[in-house]
Amino acid sequence: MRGLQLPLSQTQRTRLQRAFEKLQSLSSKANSDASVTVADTIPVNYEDAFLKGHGTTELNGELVATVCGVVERINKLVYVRGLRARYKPEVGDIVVGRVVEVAQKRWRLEINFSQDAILMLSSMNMPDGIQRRRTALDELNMRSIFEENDVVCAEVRNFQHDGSLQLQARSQKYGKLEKGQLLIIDPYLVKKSKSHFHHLEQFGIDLILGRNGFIWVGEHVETRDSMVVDKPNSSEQSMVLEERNQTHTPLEMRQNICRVANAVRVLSTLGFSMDADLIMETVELSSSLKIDIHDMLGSEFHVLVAEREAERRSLMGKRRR
Amino acid sequence: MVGLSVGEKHFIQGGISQDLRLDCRKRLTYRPIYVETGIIPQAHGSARVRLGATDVIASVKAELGKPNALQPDKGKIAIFVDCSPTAAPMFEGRGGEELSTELSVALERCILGGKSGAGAGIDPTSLVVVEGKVCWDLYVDGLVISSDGNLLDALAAAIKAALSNTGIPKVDVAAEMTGDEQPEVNISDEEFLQFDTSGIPVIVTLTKVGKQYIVDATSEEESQMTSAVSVSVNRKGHLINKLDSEIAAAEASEEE
Repeated sequence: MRGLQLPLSQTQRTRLQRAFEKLQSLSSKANSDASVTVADTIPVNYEDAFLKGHGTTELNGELVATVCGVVERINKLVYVRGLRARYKPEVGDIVVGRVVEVAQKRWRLEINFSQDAILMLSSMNMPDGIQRRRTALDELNMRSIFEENDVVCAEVRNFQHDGSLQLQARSQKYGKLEKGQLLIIDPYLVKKSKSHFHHLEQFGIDLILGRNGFIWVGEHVETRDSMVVDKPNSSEQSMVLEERNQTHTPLEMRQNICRVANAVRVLSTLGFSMDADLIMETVELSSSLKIDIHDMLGSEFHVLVAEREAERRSLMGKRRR
Repeated sequence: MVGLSVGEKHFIQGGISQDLRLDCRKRLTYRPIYVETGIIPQAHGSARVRLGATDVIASVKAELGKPNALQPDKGKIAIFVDCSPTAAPMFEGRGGEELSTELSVALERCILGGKSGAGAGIDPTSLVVVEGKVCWDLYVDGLVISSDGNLLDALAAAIKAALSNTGIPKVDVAAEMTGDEQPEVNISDEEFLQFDTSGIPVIVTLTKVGKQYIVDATSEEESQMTSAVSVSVNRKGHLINKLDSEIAAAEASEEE
C-alpha cells in the first residue's frame, strides 16, 4: 500500500496491518504472483512464440518489466499493465470531464487521459430537443450549452485515427452537472460495471462513477424525456436560473452529499475499488456508529473501514466454498 | 489551479453559508495538521508541515557573519520563501515570484517585527557572538511543494517548528581582540544551543466568502473569496500584525 498519510496510533497501525494482510491472503493467488516491479523478470515459456507488449523489454535474452504493475496475458501477448497510469479509455465507457475549451463545432474536455477528449456539437442533444442539422447559429450559441470549466458527463464514442477520443452525450442522462462536487481519484479504482449512474434514493443524491476517476456527487436531477413538448420548459429554465441564484442546496442534502463524498475519499485512500454498494455500506457504517461527518476522514474510521472490508471479503469467500 | 464551473462555485458558496464546507468542515475548523521536524540533516533546523494537500518545508541555516554597523549588538535573520513549480504550473519560471515576495515580506514582518524591532518573535541580540565583530546570520528558507490554499498559515507553522528544531553550534572565542582584527572563533561540533521559540507568533488567515469568514481555505474556496485577513498572534495573545492580505485576492481577481 502506498504510505498512508494518516497519524495512526500503535494499536491502529497493527489493526490496519492485520486487515491488509487478511485482504491480501484473500485475493486470488494468480494475481499476487503476477505483480511485478521495474526490472523484474517476467516468467514466460521461451519456447512458445509470444509477443512482447507494453511495459516489457528484452534484456540479456530475458523478458523484463519496465513499469510496476500486473502482468497480463492475452493469447500470445504478454504485457504489463501499470496501476497508477492515466485513464485507458474503452468504447462505451462513461466518463466525467471538465470543459477546457470551446472550439469550432466542438468542446474539448479534460478527462485525465493523455489528450483532451472531443465532444462534437453534433453529438450533443440540442436544448429544444429537436433532431436537426446544426446551423451556424447553433455554433455561435455553443456557450449557452457548455461553457469553460463546466463539468460534463458523457460516453466514449470512438477513437480518432490520431489517437484522440471522441465523446457523445446523446441521452438525457448525460450532460452538464451542477449542484454538487467533483472528486478525483485514481482511474484503476473504478471498474467497469453494469451501471455507473447511481441514484441514492434515501438521500436524493446522484452518484456518477466516471471510469476516468472523476466521481460526481450531487443533488438528484430528474432526467426529462426530450420528446416532451418544450414550450413550458423554456420558461421553467429561466425561472430555474433565477431560483438558483437565490436558493442553495438544503442542509440535510448537503450533509448527505458530504457523507458520500467523504466515503469515496476514505475508500480511495485505502485503495479499494469503487462500487456503489461499497460506498453505501461505508456511509451506513459511519451513520450507524454516529461518526461525525468530519471525523470520517480521521484515522479511526479508515481502520474501521479496512477491517469491515476484510471481514466482508472473507465472508464472501466462505460463502462461495 | 483547475477552474470551477458556475454550479460548483454556487455549491461552495452555499456550503460556506450553511457552515458545511466541501470536505464537511465547519467554517472555523482547520484541516488536520501534520508536522515533522528534522527532515533535512544538513540544515541546522528544518520542518515540514502538511495542511491537507498543502505541503511546505522550512529550513534554517546559520552562518557566522559580521553584524550591521548600525546595530552591532544584533544578529541578522533573513526569511525567504520560494514557490516551487511542482506546487502549481503557474509557478514555473518567474510566475511564482510575486507570491513568493509577498509571503516573504509578510512572514518577515510577523516574525521579525517592525522596522524598530518591536514585536519581534526572535530576539536578535541572542545571535551575537562578539559585539560589533561576529554574529550569527540566520537564513530561514521556506519551500512550497504543494499548494492547496492557506500557504501563509502553513509557512508560519513550518518556520516556528523549524526554529524550535534549530541547534546553533556553540562558539568559543579566542581571548585576544585588538582593534579591528577578526577574533578567532572555534565552532563546536558537539554542543548546540536551542532556540527559545516561545515568542514566535502563529498566523491565522480568515478568508471572506460571501458574508462569512472561514479559516484554512482550500484553493477552491480561495478562488471564491473577496478578501482575506491574516492575523499573527504570539503566546501572550498579543496581536502582532494585521495583514490585509491581498495575495490571494489578487490571484482571484486575475482569474476573472
